[in-house]
Amino acid sequence: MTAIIVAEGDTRYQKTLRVVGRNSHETRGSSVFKDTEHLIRLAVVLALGVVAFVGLRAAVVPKSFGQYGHYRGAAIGEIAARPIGHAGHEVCEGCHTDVVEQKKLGRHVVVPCEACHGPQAKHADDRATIKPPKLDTAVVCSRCHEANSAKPKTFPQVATADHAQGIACGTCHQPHHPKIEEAAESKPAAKPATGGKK
Amino acid sequence: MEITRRRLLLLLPAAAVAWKYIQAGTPEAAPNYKLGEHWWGMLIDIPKCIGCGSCVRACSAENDVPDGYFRTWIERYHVPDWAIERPEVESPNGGKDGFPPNQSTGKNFFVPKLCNHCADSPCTQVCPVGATFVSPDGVVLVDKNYCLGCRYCVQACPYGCRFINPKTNTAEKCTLCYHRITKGLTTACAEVCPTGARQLADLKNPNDPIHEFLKTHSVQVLKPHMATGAKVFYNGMDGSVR
Amino acid sequence: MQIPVEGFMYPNEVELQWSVLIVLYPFITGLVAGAFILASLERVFRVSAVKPTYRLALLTALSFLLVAPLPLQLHLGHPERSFEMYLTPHRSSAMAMFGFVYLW
Repeated sequence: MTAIIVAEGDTRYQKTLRVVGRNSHETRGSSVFKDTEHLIRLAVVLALGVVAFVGLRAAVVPKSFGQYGHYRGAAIGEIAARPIGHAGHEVCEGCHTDVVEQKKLGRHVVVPCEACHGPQAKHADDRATIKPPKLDTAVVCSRCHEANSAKPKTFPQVATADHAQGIACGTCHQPHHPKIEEAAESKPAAKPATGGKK
Repeated sequence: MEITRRRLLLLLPAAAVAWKYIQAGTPEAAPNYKLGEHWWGMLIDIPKCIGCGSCVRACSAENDVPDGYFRTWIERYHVPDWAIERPEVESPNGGKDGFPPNQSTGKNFFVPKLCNHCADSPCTQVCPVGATFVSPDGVVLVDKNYCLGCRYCVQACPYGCRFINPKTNTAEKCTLCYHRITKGLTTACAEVCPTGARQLADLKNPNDPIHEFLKTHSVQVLKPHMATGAKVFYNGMDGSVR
Repeated sequence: MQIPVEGFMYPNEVELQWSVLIVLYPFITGLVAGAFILASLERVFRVSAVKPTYRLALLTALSFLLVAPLPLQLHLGHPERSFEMYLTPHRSSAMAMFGFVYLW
């Protein structure tokens, strides 16, 4: 390479470029690293930034994070602690034995209580003050039994408009034992003897 | 009580253990439940479903689902002829009030849908912060205290089962009634189904009758081509279901 | 909440998820890039014809850059939790990885 030519008015960077342009045996290591202040400054800032980031992370990230995977392990417990809304038919059957007997006579024995009556866990916990509301059979029964071609052919369904002609289902059918027998035993729309629902 | 050095030395490790216990969440929500012993799924029996909507109402009531959004819903399919790739599908208010009267020919059936709790779930893959995850017992859950509400997971779900709850502004979806199944109960939707079309399944329990059913019957999952590892199995499902 | 749809859509998918706020972000970053190019034309590539625009272009680039993340933050359900993306990024998530790269 040629000798050093440092022109007047060169910036420090331009001077370094010209110096480095010499033959390798003349440069040794030192002159290449003459202008390294900015590099050291950058390295220190980067190192401090990494340390700050790691520190912040340790302080802010929730402690149970990563317990089972990339999520807050405590969330599983929180989600499992939700209050329960539906009591389940065994709970209902514990008290309402008369209704159980009625249902056993017919096809509605397989229908869970809360399918029609809605969630009753609150009532099961506090039977005195919380009473389930009276159901409107005109609405409740048609959800299952309205004739729809998508329902299985063997499932009992009627076109409510023709079948009932505006009358509510409960007028003729007893919901817990809906089949209308010819015998006197199951009187339609009879008021129940005990505190069970109609 | 005077705190001597000795008392402090005895107190500190006890306090540390208690603190760790508090931080790890509250296992007392389900004291006898072991995460590793269960792998939850569900079976839906299409020929049994009568489209009454009890499951939709029960889920809505059990989980405080806002109006207009659905953690589970029912679709009615109508395939007029042989073309199973062209069904007519409807889902009036998700099937929440049942379905209106209908008489049509061809194939008609109901398909209840919910989160499939995929083992290889696309929604958990895309969550930027780890707010939605597959629990060790196979249930895909959302941590609503960590979710940003970025809506990426809602887009990613191929089954359309996720939504943003307008009250909490976080993502939400079917939790398989995690608060019930960890206590030995079944899901709200399976609890109220009058025909037994929806049944919870524990795929790790050899004594589970549904597990047995899955081993002996032809079942399908929705969108198998997405390879999501879905764990909700459909019995008797037509090819037109999408 | 129920928007009438033609054809069938899953009930939860009737509501569109990413809409105008997300679209604004690439629009603004595009403006930033354009303004920056205009400024660099003058200084780096020495195109003297655009010299009068230099200061405005550079200022525009800076100001729009500062504003660009705003629509992204506002569309989030919980913008106050957005730092979580930097503290616990999910490596399989494209959004998290982009967010990380974008920050640095």
